[in-house]
Amino acid sequence: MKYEIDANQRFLEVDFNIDLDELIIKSGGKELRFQAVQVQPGVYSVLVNNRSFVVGVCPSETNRVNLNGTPINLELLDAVHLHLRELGWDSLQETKAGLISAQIPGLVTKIFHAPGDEVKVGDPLFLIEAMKMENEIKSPLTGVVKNIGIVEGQTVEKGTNIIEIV
Amino acid sequence: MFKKILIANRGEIALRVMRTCREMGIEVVAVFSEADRTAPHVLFADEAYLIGPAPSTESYLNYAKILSVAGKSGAEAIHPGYGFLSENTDFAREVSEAGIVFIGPPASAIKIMGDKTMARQKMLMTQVPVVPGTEEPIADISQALDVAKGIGFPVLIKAAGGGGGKGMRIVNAADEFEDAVGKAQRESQSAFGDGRVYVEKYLEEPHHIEFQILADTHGNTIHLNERECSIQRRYQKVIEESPSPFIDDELRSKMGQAAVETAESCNYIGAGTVEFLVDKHRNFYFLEMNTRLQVEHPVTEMVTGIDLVAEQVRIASGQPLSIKQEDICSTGHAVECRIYAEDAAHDFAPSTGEIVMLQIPDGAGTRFDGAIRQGMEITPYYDPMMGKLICWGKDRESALNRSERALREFYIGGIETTIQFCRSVIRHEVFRRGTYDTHFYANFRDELHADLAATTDEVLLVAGASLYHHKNQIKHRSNKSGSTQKARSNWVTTQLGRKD
Repeated sequence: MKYEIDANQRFLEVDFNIDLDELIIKSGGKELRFQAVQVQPGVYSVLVNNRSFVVGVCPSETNRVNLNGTPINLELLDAVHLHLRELGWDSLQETKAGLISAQIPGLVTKIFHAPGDEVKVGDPLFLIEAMKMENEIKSPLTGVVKNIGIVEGQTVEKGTNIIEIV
Repeated sequence: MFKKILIANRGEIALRVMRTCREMGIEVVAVFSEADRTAPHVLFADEAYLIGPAPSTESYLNYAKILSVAGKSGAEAIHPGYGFLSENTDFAREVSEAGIVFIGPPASAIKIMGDKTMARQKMLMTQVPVVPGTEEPIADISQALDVAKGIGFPVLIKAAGGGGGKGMRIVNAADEFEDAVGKAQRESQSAFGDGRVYVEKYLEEPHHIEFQILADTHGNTIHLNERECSIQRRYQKVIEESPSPFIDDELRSKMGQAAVETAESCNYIGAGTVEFLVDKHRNFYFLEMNTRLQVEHPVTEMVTGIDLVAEQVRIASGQPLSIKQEDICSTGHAVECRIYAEDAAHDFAPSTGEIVMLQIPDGAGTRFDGAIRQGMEITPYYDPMMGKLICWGKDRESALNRSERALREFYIGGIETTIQFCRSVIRHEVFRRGTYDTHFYANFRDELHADLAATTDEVLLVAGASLYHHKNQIKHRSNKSGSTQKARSNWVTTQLGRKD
């Protein structure tokens, strides 16, 4: 099975083939023999050409593994994804441009703008207080504030839409 | 000696205090909020009492409730830990008035040293040097701006009523001043219930070096050498070590004496910490005194072999110190890494959620003071610090090698942590050389983050294959349900795991 590994825009083509209890990894003319045994749910002992790794895959983090204590973010793109990307449609980067949501749960203590305001990249949008720290959320976009979904003093969950910029 | 102590705190520090109490044969009483019913400190305690809803203002800061629990449980003393009520003068006084021993300094000493403005005024009367700045909290913004201009930018705005970097802002120019004061005041109000802030000179290439103090009720005050705390981000410490690689025996002895003089100036009793800023010319200035146990106290415990909580309890029960100044001898080197639930790659934003996986390091010279377990939820209500990894070695190099080894074993899945960030600091050559100051993070930020992201092709392939393997297993598992026959693939046998 051909895949592409995308680790923060670093791409690696790879071919995985199952051979009994091993996985044969072919990439860039190299071949590695990979064997994994689950030691607890989501934690694997991995031997690759006899080199030992402990790998954790968290159910809540589908695009990240922890390899010998180091978290690695990566996406595994299969043939379908690769084909779609060739057609210019990137299913993995569904754009929600313009909708700024809370990255952390907390209390919104201040909103700096009202609908109709013009904002530039880096302008402070709102303050969110979590774990006793005040965090200033800056605008990732330049545009005009269309909508504000909450009021000052409101407690929000992670992912709550706060400001829409068009 | 006390028979029962109430610990007015949660998290790792509550557990830390309870452990020593149990070793001393003292029963421990926990208090907890609605969010903490199954928190580790509740599980550890002999008795546990619900004191209110999750927000700390309604639970861990509610001292009427805590005092009533103390009365109900028959606790003879209250240990406040750090944070929450540990530096609250009113609480210390009310505890004493209720006939219960407050394990900490007298309210009068907390009042002087807990208020940085008063502390400065006190220190101006001693031989201990202080950093130039405002004498009073900011009341009038234009007056304060004049003072700031007089000192010269950059200046630092600091909370009068707290610590830990909360309510603190650096101001580079006059036009940022008013905005920064407002932010610092709001943050300080929310964290400590006290919005007063003041201004001081910002020193160039400073080291943050602090001295541990112990004072008993028999007139003995000693210091237990220093902790170097210059690895900080957002003015919060991340890595501390002892001894400091920056100071020599002569400076150590001078600063130690200044620390003892500081404690004596306010008739200090108990464990405390005198913080200094040391500039690159090795001039030192009194910064503040923390009238409580510090987060990083284990670093001192590891090199001196002294249990600071046990000393606090002994002092509070009226016993004299078990050691004299000349008995204090630091052996080897200790390093502490703070493990926060924070995303280092995104400006250390707090990370919340369930700890889905957990592996805590162990082995020789490795200590973890924490309060986490698998399946536990990290909530947004409290401090994001989950625990501290403290490693001891016979010298600095072995302590650092050990820390790096232990951090590699450390795995907390499901939330973001500072584990990997600590690894990249410990690997950094400037940190390794011991020639860093408090600007380390700002100076090497990009290098540290690049190190976090660095991987080889081989590692990526192993990571990719692991993900592929894991996803295949999940697929097999769901395909299998309802089928009476096992799939023939060997993938299925591996998914069952080892039986040994």
